[in-house]
Amino acid sequence: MFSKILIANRGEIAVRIIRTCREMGIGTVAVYSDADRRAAHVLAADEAVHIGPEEASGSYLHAGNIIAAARSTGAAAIHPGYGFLAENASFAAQCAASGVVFIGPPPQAIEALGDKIRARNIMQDSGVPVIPGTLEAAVDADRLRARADELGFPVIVKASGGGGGKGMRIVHAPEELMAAVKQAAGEAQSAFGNSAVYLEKYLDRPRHVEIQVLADTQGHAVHLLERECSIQRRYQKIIEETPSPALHPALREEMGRAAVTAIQKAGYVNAGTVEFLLTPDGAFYFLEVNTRLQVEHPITEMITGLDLVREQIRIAAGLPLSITQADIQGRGHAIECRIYAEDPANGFFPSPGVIHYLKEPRGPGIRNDSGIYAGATVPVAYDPLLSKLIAYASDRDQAIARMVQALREYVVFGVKTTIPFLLDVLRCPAFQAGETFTHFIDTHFTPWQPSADRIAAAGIAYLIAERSKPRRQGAQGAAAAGIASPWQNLGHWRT
Amino acid sequence: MDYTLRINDQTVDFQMTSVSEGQLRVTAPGVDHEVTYCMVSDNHVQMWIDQAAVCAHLFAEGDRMQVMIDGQIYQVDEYDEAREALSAVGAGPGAHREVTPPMPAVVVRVLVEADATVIKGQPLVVVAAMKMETTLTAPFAGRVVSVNTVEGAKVMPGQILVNLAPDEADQAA
Repeated sequence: MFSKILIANRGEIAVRIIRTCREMGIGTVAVYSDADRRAAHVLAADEAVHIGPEEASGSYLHAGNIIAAARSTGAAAIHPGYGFLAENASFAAQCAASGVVFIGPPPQAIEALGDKIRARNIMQDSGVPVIPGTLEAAVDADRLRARADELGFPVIVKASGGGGGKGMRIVHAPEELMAAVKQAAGEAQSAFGNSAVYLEKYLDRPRHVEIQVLADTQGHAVHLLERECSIQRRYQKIIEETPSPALHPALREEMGRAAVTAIQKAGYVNAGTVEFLLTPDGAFYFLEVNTRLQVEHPITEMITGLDLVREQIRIAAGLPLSITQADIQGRGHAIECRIYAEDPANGFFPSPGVIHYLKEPRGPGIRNDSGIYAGATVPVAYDPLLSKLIAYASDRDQAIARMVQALREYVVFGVKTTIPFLLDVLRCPAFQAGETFTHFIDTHFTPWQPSADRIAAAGIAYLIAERSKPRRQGAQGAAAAGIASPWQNLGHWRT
Repeated sequence: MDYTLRINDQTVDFQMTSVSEGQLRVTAPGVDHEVTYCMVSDNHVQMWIDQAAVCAHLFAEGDRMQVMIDGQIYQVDEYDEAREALSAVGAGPGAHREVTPPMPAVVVRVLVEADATVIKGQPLVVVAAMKMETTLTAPFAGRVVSVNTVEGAKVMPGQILVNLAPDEADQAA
């Protein structure tokens, strides 16, 4: 087992990985940029190495600096977390070349499955249903048009080298196709350095359902059930849950088996996720593979009782899986809400700043994977994820009720958060009925304004707090207004 | 005692009477409430308004207070007539008459030059922060007096990126 691991990430996931390392008695090394000198993950680790400037390209994306930090601290392995270099095959290869174990899949698996066109072909060859579309990069305009006609509009143009909605265009009519291809390719080139695009049929009201998989170096592979991630805003997931309201045991088993078969064929090792789209008729289609630990992994941990980071470390250390497929049972229901420093009343504008006051929810079945603390700075430079709030209960209705109460108890002052928006989503009848599909937010919550209907209570709270303070000296109000008035000097006690 | 509070964008009158320690009678607006309370800390007051528990958290910022109830934040302060008159003149970023970033950002593109004529809503500067791009637009029609930034510059809220002189017809009275 490794005696020391370097965590090549920041924020909540770095804190969470450090926690498991601690439990396993493994030494921890954090890395940080100029913006993160006092970040939560730095404070949590045994050692911390400064690796560069605020700009990620010079720090969290700088393979050389990170590997140098591992070598100088004697870290035997690197956990890449998610994002940053987690799915960078070149980084994984550089780790191996430097004698540091990359806690994740081998570089060739990252490469094969990270290229969406190649991944589609691998799935097709393994008998996994793929979304009808093209299986090669779009080169010939006529052939592309013909294929689009075959599929039937609307179709979607996608970038082979990336995700997160970049390099994607929905095309409703044949005459829009070529312009969309050009735009998507251009965006893909600048975002991923790869302009290859392909076509898929645009599915109607799909659910996003993904399967967690684990594979060791000895040929064993299992799936850890599904997660439904249909509540998305601009292709970013904001609420995830398991089990999926749309899955029954037979379908779950079919999708699980398909996922395991496919990743084994690709020579996959360690944790990964196979994403599918599920249509209302119960058919499922391969979407993509994420060759890393995902943001929403905690909900799988809640229903299976496993620690996925622990499993990842064990696999990377060459140990066999400690569980078989028969051992894996899902119990209860888990929901995760991503808490972002964004202003939902203002187009979800990022809201960086200092956390002046923080109170986190507690109670049975409440888990909060957090990267912040009272007094911490939420920097401008990075993804504004503050924490992941997870609620676990015996069934879906109870999990929703538990999550609502937890969100009500979650207090953050200093930055705006998405908490009020999440509350409205969870209280919405369509969500409670399980009618979750990927257009949910656009359909029900665009635009959104806070309900803010406790005006009287807010005023009462203010007055109670004010009268509990020692009486103010009085001159402040007058000075601010630039007007000298005896009425100002009386402070609050005018009758 | 009478108070006039500004809560978010509403002005509300309150009448408050103290019944005993930890107990109040409040009328607002026009509805009577029996309130029992416990000031747990400077940031937390537990209330029972008409026997229903209401938990409120508070954070003071100068004269204003942020109050959080049920996941929603309310901006509360005392309604000050003098202050209202001052801000109506248009001074300050709150009047939305300045070309300034809403948060610390980096300038991605400058779209106008000095002496250019612009219409209301015309894009002037594109800034980026936290992986998002935003376009700052002209709050009124007018002429660009000066461009005070360049591509790549790091800018803060309050910094005027583009100085605009409004058209004669568009000037506030």
